[in-house]
Amino acid sequence: MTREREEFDHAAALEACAHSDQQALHAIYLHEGGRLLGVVQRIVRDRSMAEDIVHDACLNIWRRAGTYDRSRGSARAWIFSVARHLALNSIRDRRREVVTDDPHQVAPLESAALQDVADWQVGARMDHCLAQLEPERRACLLHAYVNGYSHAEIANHTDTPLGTVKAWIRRSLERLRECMS
Amino acid sequence: MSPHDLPKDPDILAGEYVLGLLDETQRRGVEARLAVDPALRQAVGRWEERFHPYTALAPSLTPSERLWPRIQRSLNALDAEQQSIQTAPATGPAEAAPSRQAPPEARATTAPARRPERNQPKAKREHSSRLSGGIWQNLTLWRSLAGAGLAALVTVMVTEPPPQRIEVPVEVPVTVEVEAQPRYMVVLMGTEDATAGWVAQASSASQVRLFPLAGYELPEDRALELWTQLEAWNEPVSLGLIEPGRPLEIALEGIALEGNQLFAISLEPPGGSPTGQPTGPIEFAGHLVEL
Repeated sequence: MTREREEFDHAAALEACAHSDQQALHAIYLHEGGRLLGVVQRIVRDRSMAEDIVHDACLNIWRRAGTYDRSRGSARAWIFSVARHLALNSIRDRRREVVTDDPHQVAPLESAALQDVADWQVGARMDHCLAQLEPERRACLLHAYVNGYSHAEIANHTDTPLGTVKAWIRRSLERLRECMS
Repeated sequence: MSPHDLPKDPDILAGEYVLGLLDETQRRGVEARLAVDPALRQAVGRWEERFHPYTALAPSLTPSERLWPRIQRSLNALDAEQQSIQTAPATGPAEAAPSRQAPPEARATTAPARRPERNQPKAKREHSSRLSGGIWQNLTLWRSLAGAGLAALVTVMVTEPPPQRIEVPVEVPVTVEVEAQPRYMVVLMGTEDATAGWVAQASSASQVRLFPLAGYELPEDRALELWTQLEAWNEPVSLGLIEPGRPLEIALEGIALEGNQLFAISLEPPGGSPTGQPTGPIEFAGHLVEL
């Protein structure tokens, strides 16, 4: 998976999109559509809504490709952040009314995946830094990032007081920043 | 649920934003700030990069066969729309804006008559647009990301008048006259504190009424300037200076309101921006919703 990703030049595809090359957007879709859908579905937990968001994300990527700047980060991260923030906006809007959501109704992030995260051969440095955190604090970050949980949902899900969750996350971000610098 | 206190440290704020832990108004506040705060933008970029590998924790799914054809139809519709409003051949999407030059007719009719003259040479104007273009284009990027959801907020605002309104030192009648049937509405949120600062509404596509929702302490020797930008434009257009706590009627000659149109208020030198583009921080920003 990692190798396949390296072979695809996301930045070049975005630049081609900026020049109205529909083939380039199609190439991005063929390469990342499934993974984008997975990331979005994980957050919104509704398949048709997830497809709507991937649709919107593709149009956003198309229209905004010209604003992508290589010097500001990887094109793949940019593409995924477009889709992820659309997904986050859609659930934050929707869940405003249902903050007391039954925590058991939301799909769990496999605890195995959380435990194994330090073994992922993806951001090696970040893996190292995440691994320095206590497991329950690391889980809070990933519940937020991967599942799109709010503070309250993390608190419900992990049976931890809300204030503690907020403090853990803030402190964890500080420690990650130190570790990454 | 008690509102989540925003972290003071911008880097931690950026981290919470990337993790998706801010509530809707806070998210919008950060998104508006991103447009004008390069340090915050960099901080967000760093956290996006750091966490990005963990998107791999979400298993990949197979999109339905209908999804790509649907995207392609939307692309074609978008391109057709772009072409129909183009006045000159496009050299690419970023250049395809029909109104690169601000419609000169766009003026605030009843705004205080302190609006500066802006007949600067074209070359200078182009230059200044390039300087501010990056910032503002990024705002349009975040605008499109922030897209949905404002409608829900607006509904709340319409049915429940905001409580802070009474404290506003307003010289003209205080009543916020809700239009009989406003067709458009935008809530301009404070970029610092993410609270609603102004609401603009319109029952026609050419006249906007702007109402203050909260007090605003204008720093000495500074003025507030209202801007708007259509999706297809590369740069915003000034709608003139506004005064804190003062409602205002604005005629939008040459600008047709459209859904998701951006409105923003920036802090400028007295008399307004000297460049014709926002030079100071964006204090309030919001997107137009068609009701």
